[in-house]
Amino acid sequence: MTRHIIISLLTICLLTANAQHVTATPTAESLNDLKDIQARTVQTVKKVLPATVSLFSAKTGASGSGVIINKDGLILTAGHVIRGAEEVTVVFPDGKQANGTVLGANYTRDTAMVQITEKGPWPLAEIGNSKDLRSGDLVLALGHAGGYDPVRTPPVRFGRIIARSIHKFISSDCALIGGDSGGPLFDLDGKVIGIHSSIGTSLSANNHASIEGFRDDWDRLKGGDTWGRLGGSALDDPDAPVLGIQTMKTARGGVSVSHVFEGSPAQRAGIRERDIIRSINGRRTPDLRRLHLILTNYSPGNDIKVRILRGEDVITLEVKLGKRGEILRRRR
Amino acid sequence: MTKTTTIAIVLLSVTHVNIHAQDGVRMPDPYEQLSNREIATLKKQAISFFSAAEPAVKTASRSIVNVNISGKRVAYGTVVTNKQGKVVILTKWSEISNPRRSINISTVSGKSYSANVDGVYPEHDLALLTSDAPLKPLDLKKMSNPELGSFLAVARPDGKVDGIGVVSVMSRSLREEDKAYLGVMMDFSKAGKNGVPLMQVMPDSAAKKAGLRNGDIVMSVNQVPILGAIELRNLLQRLVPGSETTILYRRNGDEKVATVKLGSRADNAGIKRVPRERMERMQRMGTSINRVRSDFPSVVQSDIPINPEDTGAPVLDLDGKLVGITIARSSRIKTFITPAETLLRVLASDPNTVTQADKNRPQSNLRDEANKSSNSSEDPASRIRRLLRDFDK
Repeated sequence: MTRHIIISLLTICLLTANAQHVTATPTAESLNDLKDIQARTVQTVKKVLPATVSLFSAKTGASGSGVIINKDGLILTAGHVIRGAEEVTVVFPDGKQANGTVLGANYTRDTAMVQITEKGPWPLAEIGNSKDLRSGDLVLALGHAGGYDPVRTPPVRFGRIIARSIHKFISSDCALIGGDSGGPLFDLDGKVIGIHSSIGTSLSANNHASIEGFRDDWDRLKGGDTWGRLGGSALDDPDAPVLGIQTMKTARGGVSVSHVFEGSPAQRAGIRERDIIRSINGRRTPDLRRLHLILTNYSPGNDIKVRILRGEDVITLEVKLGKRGEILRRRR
Repeated sequence: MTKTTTIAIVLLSVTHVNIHAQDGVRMPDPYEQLSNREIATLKKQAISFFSAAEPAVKTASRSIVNVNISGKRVAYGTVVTNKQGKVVILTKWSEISNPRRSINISTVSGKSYSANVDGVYPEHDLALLTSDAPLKPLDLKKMSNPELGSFLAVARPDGKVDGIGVVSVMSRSLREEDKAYLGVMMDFSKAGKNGVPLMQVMPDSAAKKAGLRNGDIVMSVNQVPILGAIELRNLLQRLVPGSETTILYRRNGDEKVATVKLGSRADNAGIKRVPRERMERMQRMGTSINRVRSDFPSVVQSDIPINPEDTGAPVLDLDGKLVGITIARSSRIKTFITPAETLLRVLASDPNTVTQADKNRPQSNLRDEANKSSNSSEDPASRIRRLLRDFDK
């Protein structure tokens, strides 16, 4: 009886210790602690690697990563990876390929979804929870760094959460590079907690769109809605054709201009704030997604005719398209 | 602190500014968002990892020297054997090959010894030094071939851990000539359902020799069904040049079989990779890289952040077994390690002389001039500080 009590007490103590361990920043007090973390890492990598795919669009030339999160082939990726693309090629770490259809995107959070068109079941990684993440939580990043490479699997990176940021972004010290965009950040259980979005100049400035941001927008993203503000990630393509405007909403059958960048092609052509872009070279632009799809048919330097609704007037302006990178540089 | 309003984006600035996927939103440096207490906790956490791994590097650290030119460390060296009363040290060749000034080595006690280049393995960018330094060789046979995601620790002469990371990619060749080559052009824009049509069979290629023609449709390779051009390319690149490969194809509705002896050099056309220029810019973000950092015949890739002059040091698994030797800091995300197994094989072969090595040096080795950082005489505390990055502002 006494022994039972002692054991119970011990169990309670252990549980308490465990509970504390969950909330405290994980440290490694001994080589054995490290080995425990290593065992989880190795296990997790095995589990989630097959679901870490490469995405590329022959049309836009963009190459990024993504992660499959259900057996039917729903993929989470970054908004800037699929911008301007309707179809993407999905390439698996084992060399197999499939076709993907772009669903929706929220550019402000740099989140997007792609659906594999072929029937599953596909390898998957479950989505986790990013709400309770704290500085110091251990994480793993995978992604097809540099683009798909058939002679290697997507590189594994180990690190920890550094901070939470604006627009539900989280940052970690898992170093990222071009091609990683859209790839998954996992907790040590292998649950997806973020999607790689951008990098800063320091090794610990690697930003991921959090799964929380995806959850908030889930139905819109899945339903094919595209919205939000496009940005200037170093992981993004600086040679993409742009007008040099910001758009926040659609109005009166077109895309409403919320801001025109200084020195941009749009400004030179005379596009103003509150103009509504109705069509480009005769092709209608009812939303941002259509606008991007049309733009990817052109190259920087091409002249396009932009039909605009300004108040009650309908005007047509000719715009010489610029490069994304040039607009960013000018805004330094 | 968190400015969500429109502020100018700074592109590739040297300050700690994030370039973000936000229009007009400046992503603050992650550390700016933390309280001093949180920063201290992160620091403590990193130190705990480094300290916990120390037992794994202890033995190996006794076999490491500083390899110096003009009093400055340019690399580490690992003592691998004894020869005629001297120790033989492995180090990174390209870091000592030029300028041709005299090399000396120093131990943790501060003692310096002269050293001579005894031989070079240019393919692996490894050099052998001989010296009188009284050090015990590392037992290369106590080696490890760790799984993907396993922890790795880089040792340093003072018994501390130089860096921690994981196995990012298992051992592989980075050389183009180690990839098989069929010699066909395909349409990558569409994923086919019924095999891959060959747009063009290149003259004198392996495909041509095996009788393949333009318009043939490849159905399977070595019994593996092929659904698209990317699959075919991926499969080919993983095969060994010179190997016999069975290709099932359709011509005018008839199924035929060709036996192809694959050539080498990969055909990388058609797959979208991040453009080279952009990659090179990103490779250096937050890190310094080695001049010679590619085309190795066999390397393990890790995310351990090291300095270019930290190459030549042993990398251990958590059981203290040798994984290999750091051979290059290659980019923001990767450090290459020459595996222990490769080292044993290389050491069993005859090295080049320095004169031969100069002649045989691969072109790519001369291609790039990276800026080198100068943290050679770093103490453990500042090392950890740097690895924790960006704290002390």
